[in-house]
Amino acid sequence: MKILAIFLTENKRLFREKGLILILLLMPLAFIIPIGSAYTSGAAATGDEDRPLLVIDYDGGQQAQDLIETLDESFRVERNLPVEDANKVQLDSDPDCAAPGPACDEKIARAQLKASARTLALLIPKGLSEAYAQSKQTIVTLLYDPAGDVNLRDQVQGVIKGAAISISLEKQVMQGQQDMKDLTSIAPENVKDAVAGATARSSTTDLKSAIAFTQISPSNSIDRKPPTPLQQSIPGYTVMFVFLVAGFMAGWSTEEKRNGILRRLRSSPVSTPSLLAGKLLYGLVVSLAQILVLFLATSSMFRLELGTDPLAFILVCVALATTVACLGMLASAVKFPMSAISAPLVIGALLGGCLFSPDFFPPLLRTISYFIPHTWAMTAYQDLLVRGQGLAQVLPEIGVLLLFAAVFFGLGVWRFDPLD
Amino acid sequence: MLTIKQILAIAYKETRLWLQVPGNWLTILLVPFAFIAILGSVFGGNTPVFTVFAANEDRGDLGADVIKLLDNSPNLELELVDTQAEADRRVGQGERMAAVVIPADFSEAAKTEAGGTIWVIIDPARQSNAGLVSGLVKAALSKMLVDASVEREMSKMVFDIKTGDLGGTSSFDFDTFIRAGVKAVIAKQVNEAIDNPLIDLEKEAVSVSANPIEATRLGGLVPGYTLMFLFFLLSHIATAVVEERSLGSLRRLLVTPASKAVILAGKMLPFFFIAIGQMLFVLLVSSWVFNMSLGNSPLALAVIILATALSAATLGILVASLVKNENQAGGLTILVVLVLAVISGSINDSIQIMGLNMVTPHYWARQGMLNVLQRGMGLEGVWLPAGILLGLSVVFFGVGARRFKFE
Repeated sequence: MKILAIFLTENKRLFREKGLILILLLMPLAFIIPIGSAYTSGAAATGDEDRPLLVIDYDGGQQAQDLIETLDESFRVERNLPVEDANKVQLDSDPDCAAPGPACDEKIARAQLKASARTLALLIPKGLSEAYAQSKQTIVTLLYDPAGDVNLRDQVQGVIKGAAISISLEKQVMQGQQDMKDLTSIAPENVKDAVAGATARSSTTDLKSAIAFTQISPSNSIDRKPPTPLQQSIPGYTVMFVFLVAGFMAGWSTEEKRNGILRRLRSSPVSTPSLLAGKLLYGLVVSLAQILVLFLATSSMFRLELGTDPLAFILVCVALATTVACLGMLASAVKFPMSAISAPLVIGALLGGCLFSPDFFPPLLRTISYFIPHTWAMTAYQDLLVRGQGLAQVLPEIGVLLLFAAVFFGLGVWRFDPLD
Repeated sequence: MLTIKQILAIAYKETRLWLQVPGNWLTILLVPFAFIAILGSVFGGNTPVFTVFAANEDRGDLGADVIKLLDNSPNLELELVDTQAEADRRVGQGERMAAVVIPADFSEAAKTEAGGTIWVIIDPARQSNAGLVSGLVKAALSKMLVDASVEREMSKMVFDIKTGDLGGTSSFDFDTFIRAGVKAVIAKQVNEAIDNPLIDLEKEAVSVSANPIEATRLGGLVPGYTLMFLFFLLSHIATAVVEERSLGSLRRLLVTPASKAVILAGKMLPFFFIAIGQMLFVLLVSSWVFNMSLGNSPLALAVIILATALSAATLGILVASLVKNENQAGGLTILVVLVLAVISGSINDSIQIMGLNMVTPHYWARQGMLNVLQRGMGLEGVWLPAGILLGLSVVFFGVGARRFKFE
């Protein structure tokens, strides 16, 4: 009962501060709307096959065409840009841009790259096909904006290299056949005939590669639909944001101490554990409200599916909110400057895999990440939202989150001094 | 002269107060250091190293060769598990993003027309990185893929030759001779095609600068994150002001001969220098430890750092004029800072609100830093961003000073 009374007092204080409720509700929306927009209709939602790659083809021969066709399987290849594009970069009076063609494409590309209006363009030089016929090497050039998307650049580079090797192999194998003929020329006539006959019979048409790769999902993955970029990214950003609410909780308590509210409360017949439990309940409700606003807004505005098990989802949210509330309480108890809490929490988000997958981490950082609550909250949400799992699978993560909460609460009670 | 003395006196007092709190040091030095250490260890080598599970259930030589080749890949770290089931379970639990599984009959299947299959199990929660892992696995095995196909075709060809066709040559001798010969020829050609292809690729950075920088992942990420952490200073400024206001020391300052503007300038100045120190610390450590380029123009870098620091410090004064108490100064300010970082693209380049991003100081500061650090530009790359940052600083300070309440 006393816990509830403390909780209600906290709520009254919250509602008395004009606009605070509004800010607490609007802030998650302001945070999640740009992210949701980017992953549903913005740059982050663009698939590789939709990403434009300008190819400036000075060669025009068969091998250049083969290379372009291979690139077209992975990206949206652009060639012979319209004259309007030249006008946009003040090339309308340039004689090379009188008609679309590679010379104009190159000039437009260079102007756009300098202005960061384009990330990449591939330049195929004249004479590539001729050099290929003579087994001579030709260099194609990837023009790039140094401040552009490094991931895209690496992908394009990988595809170009793969295509170049594939085209080279054809030629090299033809050369190999010649070498083979030279090799068998030293054999007796009947052996030569036998080899020639067997070579002629051997056809590589429609033959499968001796080694193939097949990409599959783990067998426990229930949701068989490919996950959207939004589904993969939202848990990380949500967890990062919600942990920063701990800073707000710490500020709330610090202000109470400064105003003497805690001291007055201690003079009432309320024990320290009841006092802290009441405050914890309040913190839990505020954190939970933030989490729900984040997820429900994303779900309703960007059609994010929240998994198949609502109970499991709610329990994960409650466990996360409890951890955040306890962390906020601990932060206020250890006399840590409130302004210095948030930056370490962002480091926690980095280590917890909210911004980059922990797969990028070296082993030491991966081990450290297990001691960060963000990691467990992330895993739980990924289990539910992306892997399509249920309560049984997220119970360990819920348990670890509550363990973190218990440790934070215990340390908070130990360090808490209302008279401080 | 007197005004400058007054500003310096207030700034000195403010700096001393700020330095007395050890937690502030944590934010200014330890946190950026931790952040660089993480980013540098992940992206310092440009292409990150991925740890994946590998299970080899194949009893033949080919499976063992696959594992060996994957293990030698500089971008893959293998964690061997015993069975496909274990790999499947552990990827399914999210322990690693992927597992490479070589099935039991792989060596034998590779010799058949259907071919052998290597399974790549990908965690759906990290599907966005699946292409990278699959690409790395294929790249590591590229020579083997061709060798295995050649080996299979050769076996088929040798099998097709009837012993009677060989005259006095035994089929064993023929097989040995032809395999050794063909393998040598093909291996040479395959290696040639992969190591020295007839079409090779070179990169050319296109920039306004005549001397562009070799762009790196780390160089692309550091400016955005540096700015995100830098603007956390807003919370420090706001907290310091709220504390002084509640203690009444701001009111006491008003009875001194210093004007309100001078008092605010004095409060802002330490944070201006702290911001410069923080940015320099992050950039220098990134350069010294992880070889990140600092561009071609130290002067241009200095200009954008100064303009950015000024915008952060003045925005701090504006925020301090708006907040009323501790929880607004601390927690809420941080949430606002985080939202600004998202909108401006500092957290993730592909998540920014076009148009709205241009009203954030983060955006212009990041553009200026990228122009210097990645595009290798000089003063021509910073005059516009720095100019806009200075304009924003004037607005921030003007509005902040107007709204500021000392009591």
